[in-house]
Amino acid sequence: MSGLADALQHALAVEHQVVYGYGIVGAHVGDRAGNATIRSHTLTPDQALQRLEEHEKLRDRISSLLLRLHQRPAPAAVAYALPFPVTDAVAARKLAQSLEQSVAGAAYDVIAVSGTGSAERTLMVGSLAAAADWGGRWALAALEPFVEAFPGQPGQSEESGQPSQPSTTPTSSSS
Amino acid sequence: MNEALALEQQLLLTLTQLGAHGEVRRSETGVHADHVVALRRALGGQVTSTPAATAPTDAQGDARTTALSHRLDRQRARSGKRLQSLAETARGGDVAALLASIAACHLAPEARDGAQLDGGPS
Repeated sequence: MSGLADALQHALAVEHQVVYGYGIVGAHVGDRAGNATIRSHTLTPDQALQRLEEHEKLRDRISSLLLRLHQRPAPAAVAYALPFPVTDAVAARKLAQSLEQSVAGAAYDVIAVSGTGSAERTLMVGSLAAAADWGGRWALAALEPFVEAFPGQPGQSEESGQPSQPSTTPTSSSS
Repeated sequence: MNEALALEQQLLLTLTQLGAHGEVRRSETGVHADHVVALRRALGGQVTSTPAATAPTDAQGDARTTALSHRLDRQRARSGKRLQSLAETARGGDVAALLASIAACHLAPEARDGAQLDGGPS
């Protein structure tokens, strides 16, 4: 398998996890307990749903790119183990921020092995910007804003105390 | 790549002109200085220190500060889009990824809003 196909498969795996994770985020982000008191930066379940739909589209586009490369897109796992318990809005925002950082990292990796002006690069340049945008929104909503100099770049997330790898782990069953 | 460096240096100059504006602005200045250093490295240039921007010595009133803040917002948004375009057409993948990452930083809300949690549009 080529470097590009590997990177796309990894990005797809991340999107599978992010789509699963955003379902959890959407279920809790509207909880009253722990919600930010600053209205302008509080994200709503509708916004989480909007972002979930964007990730679903991105997942499908990555799958299409893999098919064009004659690669079989890896299917999603039945369920994924979360990196920490998500039982309220605070944890949901933290999970969402972490998921977006994983997306940024996967996009960076695809860009690094993609060709000039290729569909893969164009898609992932947009994906990286969107992930940084939403990651920042979740950080603001958690009242933990910081300016990340190089979103997605290897080593950056560790410095900010956030994981760069996907935050969820496939499990063999949904139980 | 030279254009990307020029865009970053313009941002850095505007931030320097904004001057003493509290911790958030100072951290943002550091971020763009990091961008300049990374771009210079990617260009193969020797980096000996953080690039210095010339700060004005004239008195700065509220109106001037507001105008500079607006200029900064415009520069950031414009450079973010331009850097994305450069990333899509860059020859080397590593360079493209660096440009895309810097563009993403410019377009992220922490930078856009200056982390001003008590204001901004709802």
